[in-house]
Amino acid sequence: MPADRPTRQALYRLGQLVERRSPLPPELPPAAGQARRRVLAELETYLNGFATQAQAQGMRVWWAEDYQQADRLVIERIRETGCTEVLRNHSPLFDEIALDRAAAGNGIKLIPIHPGDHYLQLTGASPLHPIWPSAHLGLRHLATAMAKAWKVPPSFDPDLLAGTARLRLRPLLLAVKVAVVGVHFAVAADGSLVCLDNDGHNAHLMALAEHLICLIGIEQVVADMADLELLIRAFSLAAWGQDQAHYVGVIAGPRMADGPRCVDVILLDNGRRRALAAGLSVALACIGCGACHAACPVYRQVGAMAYGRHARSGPIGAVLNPVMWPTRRTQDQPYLSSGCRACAAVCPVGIDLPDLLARQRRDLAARASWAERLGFWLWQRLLPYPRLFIPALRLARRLLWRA
Amino acid sequence: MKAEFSPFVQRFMALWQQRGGRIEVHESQAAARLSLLLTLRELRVREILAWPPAALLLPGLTEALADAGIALIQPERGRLRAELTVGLTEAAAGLAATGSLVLAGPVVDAWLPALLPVYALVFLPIPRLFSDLTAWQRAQKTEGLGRALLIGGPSISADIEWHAHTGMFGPRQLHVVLLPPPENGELSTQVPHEA
Amino acid sequence: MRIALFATCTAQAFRPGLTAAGRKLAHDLGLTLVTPPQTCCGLPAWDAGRLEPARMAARQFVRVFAGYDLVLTPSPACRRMVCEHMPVLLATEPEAAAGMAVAARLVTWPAFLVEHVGVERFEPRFRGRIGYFPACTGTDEAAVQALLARITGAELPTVFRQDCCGYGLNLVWRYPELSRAMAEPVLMTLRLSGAALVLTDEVGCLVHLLAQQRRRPGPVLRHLVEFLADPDCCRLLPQR
Repeated sequence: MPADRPTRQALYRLGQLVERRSPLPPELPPAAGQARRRVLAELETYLNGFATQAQAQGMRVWWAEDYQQADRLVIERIRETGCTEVLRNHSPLFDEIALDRAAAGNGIKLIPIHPGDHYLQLTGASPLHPIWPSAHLGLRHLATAMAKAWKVPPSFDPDLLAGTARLRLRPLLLAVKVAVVGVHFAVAADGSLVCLDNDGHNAHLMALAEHLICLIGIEQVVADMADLELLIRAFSLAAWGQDQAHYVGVIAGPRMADGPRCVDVILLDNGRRRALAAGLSVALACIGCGACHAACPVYRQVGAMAYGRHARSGPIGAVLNPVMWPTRRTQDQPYLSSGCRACAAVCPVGIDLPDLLARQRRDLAARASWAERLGFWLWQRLLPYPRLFIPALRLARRLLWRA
Repeated sequence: MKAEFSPFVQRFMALWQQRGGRIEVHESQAAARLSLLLTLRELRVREILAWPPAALLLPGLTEALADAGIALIQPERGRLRAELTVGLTEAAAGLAATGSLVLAGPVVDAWLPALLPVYALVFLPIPRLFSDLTAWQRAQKTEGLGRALLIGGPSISADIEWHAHTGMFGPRQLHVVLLPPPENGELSTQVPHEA
Repeated sequence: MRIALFATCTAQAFRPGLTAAGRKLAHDLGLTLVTPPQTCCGLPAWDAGRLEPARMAARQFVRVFAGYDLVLTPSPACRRMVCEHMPVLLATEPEAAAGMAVAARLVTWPAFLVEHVGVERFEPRFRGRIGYFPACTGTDEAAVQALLARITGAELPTVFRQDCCGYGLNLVWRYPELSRAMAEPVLMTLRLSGAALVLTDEVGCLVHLLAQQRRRPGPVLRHLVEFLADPDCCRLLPQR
């Protein structure tokens, strides 16, 4: 189950990097958490408010119940443009809906313009982390893949490699016609969509694309500008250790003067309403910063791939996956915890992840295997008798750890 | 009150520099003009990707540039002139709380000189400094933000083993020039607002 | 003062020497320490989400440890179970009030030694570099620092950065290879520090790290109590 050595080394570095940061200002998680919970408590109202405002601005609003419908909606929108080559930005939403696969299956060339995502496509690797998808690709491995794909001499200088990527990707970006954009926040008060990054790819897409097809999870609605400012700060601090992302793009409806002629926004459910109904609204406050991942000693051994390519990863994934993506594999994820509570200390919206994990485990206990049931039955029977319990414990450990 | 002592200016400058940007503030338009010409001379360019109204913020600048043999090239769709290495535009606002520029307005081509070239110069008149985004939005007297781009610093990426790389899809150097309020008390150009 | 030792099932099964050391330390300090017959606080059941077995263990725990002035434990993890989760488990049980009372009187060794015994009674000596591994489940670092400050002869007693060694019970029983893998970076940190001896106040971490260390090079690992109870390591001064 632990990831391979290079990945674990990259994860160790990630842990070090994040640990060196100053802790979050103590007043931030409660304030940000409250802003999120307030909206989630009346999500449908805020969603409708957003949809109304977005439509008033000239955006076309679509609702996707599940990821298959989201794929269909995106493909249809792309087909309407007549373009077969389309760019996409960096967003974990694309892994969630497996858009790369859907596009390929529909004869559409979907090009990830974010360098990290592009490197993943070149090497066929899975993302490491929602914010740092490609940090585990070794320099040599990446250089070789680039050299093979782009017929350039291999270089082992990271700046030269990045420069090569820029030479290949920038012309695509400047010539963009249609872009599929996963956004971070939707502002209910005015119907705008917000993207954050540090390298500027979203700003280019916003400014140059003729047609923007935006994708967002329904839980990512914020009430107004004040909420937005707070959450931009929370996200930037928790994801990058910066008080502000270098680029914050606010997408509005299409204008006649210039900018995109058409803006579509697809609101994705895909299990979120199920999570709300299951009482996990607190967990849906998650803004996707990945801080809990970097703090988690379990995640640092297995990486994002272990949680499932299309599921959420890390501690928050372990909480939400059993409800949002119920599979045999995700049922086990709430047990992927040592109880160290490092995640709770770093969450910028104050989600009590250890508590939620414990809750999930209580729900899962009802579906335990016969072996586990037998084990606990024995455990309970022997509990009052130290002279039986203690030797039994020794035996159990010897048996299980040899297995 | 001198511009240098305004807390908004101080905070903005501190945050901007912390994030790797370059910033200068001038007390007179003449000083700003001179400094800009010197910078451009150092950069040794004949053509700048520019949003022409920005140059009008400094009276006499367009003429001075023409005298120096520097042409202002406006980006157009189909002719972005993305190979130009220096850009000049104006910011609709500056936010002191986060030390970021706000590029706004219905004309998105005004943003391109701050996105495409390697070295971007951005004029920010001091009266356009606000405390935060909410304050700016309220001053706009519009319902929402409309389309906007907040810029907090140069383009940085760290996708290859966390190696910090600048200038992937944006300027490597962002140079903000804080302009003093005009002597006659009015802005020499208006920022186009969302209707 | 009647003090009970909550030895923990981990210590009883996998480190009986620790229980003996605790009893010896108390005896040498002139304290009355009782070790009532006991098994488990219920943490494994609670961690696995099995509330009925956990509640049964909680009720048993209260019956065993009610009536003492103080209860001592070599495990912050077990203490957290009793103080944080047990009250919730027993909320509607007849043992609710007694449970709260026991929880209020449960302390780990560092806190006990600093607050109830006094650091000035300890004269620990060690030649070489010494380190301390704090448990992610809640080592009282202030108390540990006060005790480490008493050590003479040792080089730079350092408290390592808090990290998780992997002994979480769900991992130990369901993902043992992961639990083992998590010990590796910790052992590497301890080894690279050059410490000859590393102490901890969490028996779970101690047992787990020892099992992973096996016969590989690295510091000697001991529980704080074992160190202080060892007459070669620590001299105890009489009470004033």
